[in-house]
Amino acid sequence: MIFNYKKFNFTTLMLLSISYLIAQENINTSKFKQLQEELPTPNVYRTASGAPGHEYYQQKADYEINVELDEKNNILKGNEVITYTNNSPDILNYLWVQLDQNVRAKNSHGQLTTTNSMNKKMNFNTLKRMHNKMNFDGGFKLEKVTDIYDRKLSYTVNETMMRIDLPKPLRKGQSFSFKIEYFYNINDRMKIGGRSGYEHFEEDDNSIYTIAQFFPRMAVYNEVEGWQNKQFLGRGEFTLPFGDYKVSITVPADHIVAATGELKNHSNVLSKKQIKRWEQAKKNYTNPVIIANESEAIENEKTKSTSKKTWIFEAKNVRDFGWASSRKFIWDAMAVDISGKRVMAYSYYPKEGNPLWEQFSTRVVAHTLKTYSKYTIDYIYPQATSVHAKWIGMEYPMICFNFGRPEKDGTYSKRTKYGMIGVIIHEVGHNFFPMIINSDERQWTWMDEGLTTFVQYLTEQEFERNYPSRRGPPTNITEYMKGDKSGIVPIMTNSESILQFGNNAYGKPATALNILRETIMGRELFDYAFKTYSERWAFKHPTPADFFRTMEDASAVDLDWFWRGWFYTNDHVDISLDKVNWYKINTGDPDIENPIAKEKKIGQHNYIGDIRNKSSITKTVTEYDDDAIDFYTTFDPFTTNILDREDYSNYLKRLDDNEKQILNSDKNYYEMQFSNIGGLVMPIILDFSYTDGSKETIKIPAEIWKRNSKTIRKIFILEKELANVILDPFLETADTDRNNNYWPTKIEPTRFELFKEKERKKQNPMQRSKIAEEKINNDK
Amino acid sequence: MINNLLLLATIIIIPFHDFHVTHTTLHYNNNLKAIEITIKVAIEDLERTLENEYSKKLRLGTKQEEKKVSQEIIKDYFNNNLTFLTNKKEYQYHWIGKEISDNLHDIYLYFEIPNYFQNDQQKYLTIENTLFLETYIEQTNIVLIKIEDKNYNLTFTKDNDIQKIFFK
Repeated sequence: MIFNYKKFNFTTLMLLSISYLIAQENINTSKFKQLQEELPTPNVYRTASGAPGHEYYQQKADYEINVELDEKNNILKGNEVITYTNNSPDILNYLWVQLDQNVRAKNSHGQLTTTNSMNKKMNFNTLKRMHNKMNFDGGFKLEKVTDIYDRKLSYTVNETMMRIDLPKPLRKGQSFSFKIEYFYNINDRMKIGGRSGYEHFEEDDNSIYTIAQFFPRMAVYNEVEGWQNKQFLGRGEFTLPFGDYKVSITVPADHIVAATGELKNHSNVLSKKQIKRWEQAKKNYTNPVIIANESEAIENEKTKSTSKKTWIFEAKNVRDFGWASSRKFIWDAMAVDISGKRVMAYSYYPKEGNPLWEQFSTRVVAHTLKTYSKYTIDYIYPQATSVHAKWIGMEYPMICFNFGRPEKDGTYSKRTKYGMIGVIIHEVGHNFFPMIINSDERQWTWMDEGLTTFVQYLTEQEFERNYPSRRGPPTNITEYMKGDKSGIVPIMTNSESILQFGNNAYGKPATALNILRETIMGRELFDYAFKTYSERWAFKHPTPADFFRTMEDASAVDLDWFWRGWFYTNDHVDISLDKVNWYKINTGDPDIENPIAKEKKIGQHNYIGDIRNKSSITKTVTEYDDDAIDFYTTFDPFTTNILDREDYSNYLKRLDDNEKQILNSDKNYYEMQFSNIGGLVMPIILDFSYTDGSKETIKIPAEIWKRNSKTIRKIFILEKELANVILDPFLETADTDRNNNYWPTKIEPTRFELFKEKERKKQNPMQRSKIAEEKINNDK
Repeated sequence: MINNLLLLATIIIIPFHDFHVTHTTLHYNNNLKAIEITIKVAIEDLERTLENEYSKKLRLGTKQEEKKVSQEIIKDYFNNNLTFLTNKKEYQYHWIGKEISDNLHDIYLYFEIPNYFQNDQQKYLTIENTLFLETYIEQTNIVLIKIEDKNYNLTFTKDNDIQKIFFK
């Protein structure tokens, strides 16, 4: 244990001040500089408080869609009428429509801009996949683009976008309706991947269709981007206006269809038995009721109906539509109470999903709706659906496609179970971000993935104590954040340019919000502000600035430094407790101080020659010859005489009562130095353990770095003596190197060392019980 | 390598919505004169790659796992795909063990290079990291190296799978 123990004079204490090194820069590079230059100027559409402005507007797109599934050829044929309403103050001469299926067209930009290279160990399957992708004839085949009177409209396709030239300009408040007829080849998800597509089951020659981006969709027009004009390259997801949907889906008569919205013609498509069970489910809030059961599904798989049925769904105020269809589906349902309103939780899965799905899917949907409603806004759609889809997790309004398939023998690993629960929470959670709080996914992946992952963590922890959450706790992100900076980009990076997608857009923002909630703002302030953001931007189009501003506006916590560090840089957290200096006040009382000073002097006297001389020189001259002694031979500078006492009493007379009190307080003064190695400024949280065994936690806000973000010193005046100090004792700041977090210095064992240690101690259960037995015998 | 292509019959499928990163930490233990290697990989990525390369389903961490077999396969795969070369000597590393992460998503693999003497003669270390590049086009492999008081922080991708660090 090494520390400096110093005494200082009371007078010097009065003068003691901390001198900061002030960085000599030509421009303001302070980590606490406000974000005014980074954030857009507030205006009538978006206020400086982060709320929608008094002239906020958004466009509306209503759809009437008819599609028919050709199961034999895996083709989807459709036609739609889109009614677009211009609520902007601007005059529009053309509309942009998104043709997302075109990302799978031959030579699409999505394919051309995917960088890849041959390498010597590329295997057959990678090649096969590349071939499959290249050979697949994907993309929308447009057959007709007309107005509602079937008059041809002039249009231009640019990759995944289509411009429709309006016959006459569309002014504020006006609507324009037009029709598109089209078809496309549905992709085999198992061969070429995709957010939607089909999975074919060889054993019973059936497929599960999970269908999305299946119709030309309106792009967003607003005051932030104008027309959204970033092509769909595959990664940056979607940005879509709200509207009302009526969708008619024609499939083989023995299929069951799940979709966004509410089924409007159940008497035409469901059996009486199914309707009866469905009615029961509507009353059951405690466990799922099976509407189409496993044995019925197995029976259904065996034959193929040649006739067709049309399922009609309607959805109000949604930004998209997705559906799934199969004759393999088992279907269960349960009612969920959201602030007194009934919402239905549905799950659709094949027998291959059991036993996992019948036990967990619908329960998890219900739990997710409740927790997300608690932290954001009440879920207001009538239902939420989870559909089994091997290997993917993908979200649409009210419906999502989720992985989690047990082995063929019906067993499943712990990882499969928690992976499935996690993905269902995540994808159902997307109903809130971005389906309702509708951020622009094409620009900012973190705004929906990060926020969803954050609430996913809260939801997982409420599902089961110590749920094995992958993302959320600060320690889980340190490995990523301390990595090579050339492989890390700031969170505020466009979706297509993100490196390490999962860590960047899911893990880091989720962790950052968790840190705000637990450490920077506290749960109460954070939860209120997060809810305020959700309420303000529900069914609207928020931008990053609206989020940043609202979180500050609703909490009175200046977070600009936090957004700047965590969202605009790729810095990491590494704060070091460099040194601890211990001081006590010099009371000035000669009767107290002289003995201390003497002891200290003796303690310092350690020269080896002197030590040896003590015994080797039996007697010195002054020891055997009294005449060689004078005043100075015996003078002890540490003895106290009457003059010293008089000086002291005069000194006391000059002090007022307050000063006297401080002088006699016998406090310990600890000066600690911290340096910021990682770059991110964070609160300093200290755990003090005292020599008497007691403990205390000290929390200093991040603003301690406001004048010097590299090295700071801080004095702690303590009653008791410190035994040790730990920086960040509760692992809440994502500090990447904990070896500089201890005083006295302590090196944390590496994971490798811990593992080796554990292996060495490992006993098998028999050895263990034998040792236990011996222990009992010894105790007798 | 053409032969290799034809041998592989099982189909691997790449999930759409996941992201593939491995983390390797190399730590020189001066007391034991050994390099301690900790590798964190997603279980799914590891199983998928090994299943494809060795035509064997591992089922790591479940009751069905044949531990001896999976250990041999993992050891072989990593010794072939993550290599360390100093002054023309290639190091083989030894199996220490493996454990599944608390969040069940990843597996930690522990290896050791014994009898490694870091001295003045060691001028450089060449690392070749081709982990899972055969499975995922966008695979990223991160390697953190701590040898004595020097730290190195490297990122490997398909286009950048061999890197050299100099001790002087």
